[in-house]
Amino acid sequence: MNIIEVNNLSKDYKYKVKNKERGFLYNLFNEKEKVVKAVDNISFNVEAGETVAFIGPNGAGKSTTIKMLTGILYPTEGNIKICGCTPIKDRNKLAYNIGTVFGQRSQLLPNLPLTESMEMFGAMYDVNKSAIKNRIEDLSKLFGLEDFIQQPVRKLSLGQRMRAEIATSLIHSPKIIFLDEPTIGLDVVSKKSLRDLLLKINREENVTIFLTSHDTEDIQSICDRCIIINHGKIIIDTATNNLMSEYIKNKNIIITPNVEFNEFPELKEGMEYVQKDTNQINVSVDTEKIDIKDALRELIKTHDIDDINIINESLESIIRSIYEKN
Amino acid sequence: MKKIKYAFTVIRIFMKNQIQDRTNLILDVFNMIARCFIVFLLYAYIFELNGGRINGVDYKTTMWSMFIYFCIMIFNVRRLDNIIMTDVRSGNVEMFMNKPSNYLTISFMNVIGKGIFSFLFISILGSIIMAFAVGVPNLNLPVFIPTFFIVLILGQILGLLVYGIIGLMAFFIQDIRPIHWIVDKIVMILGGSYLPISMFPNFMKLFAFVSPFGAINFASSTVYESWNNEFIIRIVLQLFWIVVFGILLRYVYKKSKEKAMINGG
Repeated sequence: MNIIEVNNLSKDYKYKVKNKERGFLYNLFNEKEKVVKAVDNISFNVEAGETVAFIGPNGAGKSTTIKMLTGILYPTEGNIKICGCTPIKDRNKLAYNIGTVFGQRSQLLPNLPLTESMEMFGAMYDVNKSAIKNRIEDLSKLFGLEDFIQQPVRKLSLGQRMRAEIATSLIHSPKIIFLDEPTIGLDVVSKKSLRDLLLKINREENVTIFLTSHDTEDIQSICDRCIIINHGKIIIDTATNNLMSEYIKNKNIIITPNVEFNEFPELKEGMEYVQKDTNQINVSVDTEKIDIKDALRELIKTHDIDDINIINESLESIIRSIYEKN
Repeated sequence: MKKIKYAFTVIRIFMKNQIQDRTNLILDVFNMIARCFIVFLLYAYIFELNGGRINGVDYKTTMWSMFIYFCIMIFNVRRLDNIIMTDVRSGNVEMFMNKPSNYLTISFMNVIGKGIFSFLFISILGSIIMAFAVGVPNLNLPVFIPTFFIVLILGQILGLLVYGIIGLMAFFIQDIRPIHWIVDKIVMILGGSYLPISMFPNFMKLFAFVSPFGAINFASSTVYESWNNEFIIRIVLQLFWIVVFGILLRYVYKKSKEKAMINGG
């Protein structure tokens, strides 16, 4: 069952442009408007319980899309249905079904313990007092908030605050959670813990996750599906695993010598030295031009090898090459 | 009932958030002491020069009128537009635009929560001090007590609507401070901030009476003798302006939502 349905969605931004060749007075009365298509006719569906990464370079239109999906921005054209609601028309009804976390903003009250913010948002979502109390207890256990739940929010570390933000956005048990760069600025340990928590709420509470991030680890570890947007258009919509298998065109072969390498013979087409040291060589192989087995045979033939490692291209470089192509 | 309960919960939590930082309360107390001390000394001298009465009103009544005005200033619904502008400019408005309560209601509750404790603390304590220091004005209590609270509440509702509209202008012009400055100064003058209402020339009295900006601070007129004859028309005027500005605010809010543009989308 589709929980998110997006059809032919577009969003234009208009801004005033001045004629540089004319003076101040002319421009005051003859300003022209320029239209920028931030989101350009996109369509996609998301099923309940899916974990979707909605990614793209800066300015691609991902945050604009999320804000339209959550009823913050008005679309210029197109239709959106979230849990059967049209975000702009049924904003209130929609609010009960979704939770939002914007990595660079906070909805928590800085001077009070987290429980107070949770109580306030619980009341906002018509959750009764005893249900709020129970939910706070559950979320506290699930997110490991016990150690700091009674501390004023302004005294929390960034990692603790982000856990608190996500827990608060789940106070009303939404069906979908929209996360806009939730791991921004976090250290590796906090990132890992946050990703684990998101997976947990997806598995245990069947919450659909719709996430934007520039961190490929977030995508790889949380999301089953990846939608890539650039210049306002969807360029790829596929399973994250497919992204890894279909778009990998480079592999790296790292070899270490029996005796030190002194010579670096010329390689076949599609093979290129990335690193040339006496104790290690790294060769990049373009698998569209040469089969990995042939490349390996070639290296074994020309080098006295002690050990071999074959490494896939990282998701980050795959995504980078997709961005660059588009 | 459910909505009232919800509003009380949210206002109580916003209030708790505000009073955690005790410096705000201390600053509000000092603000009040400084204002009253200067103004009361100044007007004591002016009234003395005029034989104890100006425009038929005595010193005691005038000072109570100004005290009520200062208490309303401590409540400070005037900060609403600045709160909205800051949210719009920082993009934080998006955090509340997708909640079941609309953003304006949350902002109203925020501003009430921020001001209510200082207002109650200073007005109750200040009233006791005023009663000892200046004396109690001659009031028609059966009229004063109910009408004071009615015009105080209606005035603050009107204030929220007026400053709410100014705040929402931030969706269109980004910097609303010049508009705030002009409106705020009119509200302050007509409320009796610089000159007690009893000393206003007739045309200004009329303007303060009929304009929405004057109606925000009608509570400061409740101590005057003329109140007994005017309270009905003043309450009607406040209700009229609340309806007008309520409709206007609704319209501006609708347009603001359509106009919303937030950093990174």
